[in-house]
Amino acid sequence: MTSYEDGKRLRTEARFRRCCGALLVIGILVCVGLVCRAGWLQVVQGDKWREIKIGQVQGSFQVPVYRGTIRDGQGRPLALGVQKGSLYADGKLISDPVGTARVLAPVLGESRRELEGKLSAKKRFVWIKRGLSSDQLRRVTEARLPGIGVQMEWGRYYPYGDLAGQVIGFVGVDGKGLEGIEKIYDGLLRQDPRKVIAFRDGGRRRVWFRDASPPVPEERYGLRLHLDAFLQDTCEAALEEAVRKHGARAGEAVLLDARDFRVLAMAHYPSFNPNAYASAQPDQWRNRVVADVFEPGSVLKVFLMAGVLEAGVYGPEQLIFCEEGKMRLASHTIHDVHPHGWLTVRDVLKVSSNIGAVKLVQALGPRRYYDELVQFGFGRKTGVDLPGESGGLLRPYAQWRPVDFAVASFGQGVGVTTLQLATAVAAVANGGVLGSPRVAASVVNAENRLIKALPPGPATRVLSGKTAQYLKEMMEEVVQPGGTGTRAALSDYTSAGKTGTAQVADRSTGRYAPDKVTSVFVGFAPATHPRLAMAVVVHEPKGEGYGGVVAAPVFRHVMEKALPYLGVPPDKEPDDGSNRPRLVRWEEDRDSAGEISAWQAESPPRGEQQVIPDLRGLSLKAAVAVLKSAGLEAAPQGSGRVVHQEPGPGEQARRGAVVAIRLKDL
Amino acid sequence: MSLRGQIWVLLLAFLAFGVLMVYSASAPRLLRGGDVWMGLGPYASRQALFAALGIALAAFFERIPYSWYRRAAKPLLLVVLIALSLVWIPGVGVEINSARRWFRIGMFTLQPSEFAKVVWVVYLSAYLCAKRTALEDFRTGILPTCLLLAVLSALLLLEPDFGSCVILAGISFVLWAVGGVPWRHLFLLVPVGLAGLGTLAVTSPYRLERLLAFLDPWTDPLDSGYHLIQSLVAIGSGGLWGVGLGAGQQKLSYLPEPFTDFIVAVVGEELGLLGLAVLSLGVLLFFWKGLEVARRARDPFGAVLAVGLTCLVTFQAWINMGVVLGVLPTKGLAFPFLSYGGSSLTASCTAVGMLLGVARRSP
Repeated sequence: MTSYEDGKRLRTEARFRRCCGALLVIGILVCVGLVCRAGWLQVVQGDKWREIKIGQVQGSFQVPVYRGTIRDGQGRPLALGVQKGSLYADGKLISDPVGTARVLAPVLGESRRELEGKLSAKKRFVWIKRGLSSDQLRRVTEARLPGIGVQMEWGRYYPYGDLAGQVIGFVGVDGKGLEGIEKIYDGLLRQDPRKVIAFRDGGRRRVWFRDASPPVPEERYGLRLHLDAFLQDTCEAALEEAVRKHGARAGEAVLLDARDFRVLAMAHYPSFNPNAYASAQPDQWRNRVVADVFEPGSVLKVFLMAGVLEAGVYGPEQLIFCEEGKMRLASHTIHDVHPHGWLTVRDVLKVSSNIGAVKLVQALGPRRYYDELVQFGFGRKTGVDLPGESGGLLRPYAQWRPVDFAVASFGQGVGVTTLQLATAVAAVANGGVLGSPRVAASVVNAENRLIKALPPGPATRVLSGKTAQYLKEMMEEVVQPGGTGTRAALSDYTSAGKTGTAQVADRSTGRYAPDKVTSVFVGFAPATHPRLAMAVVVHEPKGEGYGGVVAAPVFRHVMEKALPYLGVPPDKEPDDGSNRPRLVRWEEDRDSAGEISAWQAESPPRGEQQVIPDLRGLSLKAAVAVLKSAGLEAAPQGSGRVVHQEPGPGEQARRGAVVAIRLKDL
Repeated sequence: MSLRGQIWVLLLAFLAFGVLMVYSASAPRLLRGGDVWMGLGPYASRQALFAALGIALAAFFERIPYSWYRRAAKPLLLVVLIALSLVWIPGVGVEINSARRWFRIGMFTLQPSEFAKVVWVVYLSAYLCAKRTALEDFRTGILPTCLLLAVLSALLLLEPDFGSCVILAGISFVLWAVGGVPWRHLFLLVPVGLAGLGTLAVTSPYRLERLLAFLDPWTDPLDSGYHLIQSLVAIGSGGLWGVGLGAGQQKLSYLPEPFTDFIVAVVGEELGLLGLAVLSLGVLLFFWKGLEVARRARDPFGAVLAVGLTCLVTFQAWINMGVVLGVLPTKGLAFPFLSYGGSSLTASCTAVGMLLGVARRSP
C-alpha cells in the first residue's frame, strides 16, 4: 500500500517536473516569438509604419495673416486689422427660433421678424451678423443660446474715423479691399495664410509643444502713406469751414509736396467714415478728388500763360486791349467781371481778365493751347495710386469751334479733376517738371520698419525753368493787393496762386445754370522756393461764389499751419512789422526727410558770439534768410542747395560774420 | 541573491517602470484638458500610490503561511462569486465603455475579476491537492472544477470580460496538467473548451469582428481595425532604439488606451525594440523564477500554487503583448504592473506576495 502510494507520488512528482520543464520551454519560445515579431515590425517594416505615422500625426496648419496696417507719413495708424466676432446660427440646433430672435433682436438692433426668418431656416450655417461690437459680443455670449455661435474673424478698424475716408477706402466683409488705398493695394495688404507643419492628435486637434509653440496671427506687409494725418485734418477742417460758411454743396482739396508730388492731404467734404461704410450711400464712397470732373474756370489761365510765354507769342510786359469788359465772339459775348482797357500780360493773369485770355489764346492758336494743356496733364490720368481715376474731358483741338477754344482759355468747356489741377500747378511750382502724384510711400512690416520704398512716379519737364520762374512771379502777384487772390496771402510766407470761378453746366438743360458756380483756387507756397502746392474746389457756394472769396481762404488756413508743421523757414516778415523773436525750423537734409532739428533764433545783443546754424539742404534764398535772421552774412558759391558751409554748424562766430556756403544742383 | 530577493527586485523594477510609463503615456490627456499640474499628475501619482499599496500587500502575503489558503479557498471563492454578481446591482456597479466590470468604493473603482483570477488559482490548487486520490475518476476529479469554472466564466462573460475568461481557462488547463489530472481527461476537454470559446466568439458579433480584425486590420481601418493599426504604427515607428522616452506621438489620442491596455505600444514607440526585448526578458525571468519557486516548494500544494500564480502573471503579460503586437485578437487585458489600474496592480502584487510566501517556506 505504502509502496503504491509512494510510487504514485513519485510518478506525480516526475510529471510535475516534466510539466514545469515544458512550461519553461514554452515560455522561452513565446519570449523569442514576441521579440521576433517586435523586430519584424520595428526594424524590417519600420519605415512603412513611420511613414503612416507622419501622415496622420503631421498636418499643415494655416497661420492667419491679417490685413496689413495702413499708416500715415508719421507712422500713425489709419487702418488696423482687428479681430471681430461674427454671429452665426446652426439651424439644426435651434429649437426655439421665436424665443432666440426675441433675445437677439434688442442686442443686435435688428428686426425680430427678419431674425426669425434667418433662424427658422434649417440650414447648418447662416450668418446672423458679422462684425459685432465688443458689447454685443459680450451680451450674446452671456445669453448662451443653443445653436448660436460666435466665430472670430479679422476685420478692419479705422481709428481716425472719417479722416481721409474716401482716400483710404474700406474692406468688404470677405476681407477684400473695395475702395481707395484698400482696393488698389489689396494685393499687398491681403496676404494668404502662412502654412506651417503642426502636430495633430487623434481627434484632429492641433498639438503644440514648448519648442513648437502655436503660431500667432501675423501681419506681413503694411503700407506707409505720404499722407499726413495732421495735414489731412487741417485740410478737412478748413474745407469744411468754407463749405459750411458759404452753404456749398461739396468741396475737395489736395495738398501736394511741390518737389516730389507726394500727396500730403486729400480732403473731401462731406466726408465718409469707412468704419460704417455699409450705412453710407455708395455715392459717398467715391474719391471725388480723382473721379469727379468739373469745369475749372480761370485757373486754367495759368497754363494758357505757360503756353504763351513758352512760345514767345507775348512777353509778360506786353500790352493787350481788354475791350472795356465786353467782347463779341460769333454769337456770344464775353464779359470781364471788372472792365479793363489796356493791360499787361502779367495783369491779365492778376486781375483774371477773360477777354485778355481770349486774345492770348487766339494769338497762341488752338493746337498749341491744346498741346500745352495735354503737357500739363489735362485730359489724361495723373497715374496716382488710387482707383477710379478719371482723365477729365479735353476734346481734341480739331473738334473745337472758335468759340470753344476761346472759352477754353478761361476754363469753360474743359473738364478736369481736382488732382489734375493740383499736379499741374505743382509742376509750375516745381520749376516746370510734372510728376505723377503718389499717396503711398513704402511697404513696411508690422513694426513700421521699412521693407521697400515704393518708386516715385515718372516725371517729365513740361516747361522751361525760365518760363516757370516768370509764371511763378506772375502768380505771386495774384495774391498781392490788386489781384483776385488776396485772401490767399500768408503772414509769414510768400505765396502764389490763381483763382477760378466757373459756371456749372446744368445736366438737364445742357446749358450753364444761372446761379451755380464752382469756386477754385490753385496755388503754392512759399513762392520763393515752393514746398507745397494745393488745389481747392468748392462746388456751388451760395452768394458771392468767387474762387478768391470761397476757395482762397482754405489755401491760407492750410498753408499757415502746414508750412511751420513741416519746418519750412518763413521767407517773409510778419505783416505787423514787429521783429519778434520766433522759432525757426528747417530741414536738415532733403534726402532724410523728417529729420528736423530746431534752432532757436533769438535776436541777440549786437557784438555777441553767435552759433552758426546748419544750412545744409536749404536753397540759397532760405539759407540767406536764415543767416540774416541770425545776424550773419552769406558768401554763396554755385547754385542749387547748400552742400557745404564754413564755419560749420554749431561753431561760434561774431555777429555780422560772413558764412561761406557752397551750393550744388542735387 | 536568494530566489526571493531576485523576485523582489523584478517586482520593484516592474512597478517603477510602470509608474514611469503611465506618467509618459498619460501626459497628453492631462495637457489636452488644459490643466496645470505639478509632479506626476493624477494618473501616475495614483499608480505610484497603488504600487506602494502593492508592495505592502506583497510583503504582507509573503509572511502569511500559505497552508492557511487551503482552508480559506472555499469561502474566498464564494466571496468572489458574490462580488462578480454585485456589479449588476445598480448604484453599486459601474459601467464604463458598455462593460460592467467595476464597482465603486469611495473615490476608487474596484474590478473584482482581477481578484477572482487569483482566488481561482488558490482554490484550484487547494482542490487538486486535497482530491489527489480522487483525480483518477472524471466525475469526482475534474468535473466539479469544470462546472465551477463554467459558472465563473459565465459571470465574467456577462460583464463582458472575455480576456479574463481566456486567462482562467488557460491557467486551469496548466493547473490540471501539473496537478495530476489524467492526460486522457484533459485531451477530452480540449475540443470541448475550444468549441465553447469558438461558439461564444461567433455568437456575439462584436467579438467576432474583433477576432477577425486582428487578422487583417486594414479591411476596416477606421473602426474594428483602428486600435490595432494605431498600436502597430506606434510600435513600428519606434524602430530599434525608439523615439525617446516621453517623445512618443501615438499617445496623442491615436492609441485608444495609451496608459492601460496599450501601454506596451507606448513602450515600443518610445524605447523601441530594445525596450520591448528587455520587457519580454523581464517577464521570462519572472516566469523562470516562479517555476523555480514551484520546483523547490515544500509540499505539492505550494508547488501547484506557485505554478498557478506565476502563470497568472506571465500569461496576462504575454497575451497583452500578443494583442499589442497584432498576433492575438484584442481582448482588453491589462499588462501586470505596467498598465494603469489599482485592481490589476494590487491583484498582481497579491499573487506575487503569495508566490514569495511559498518561496519563504521552502526548505
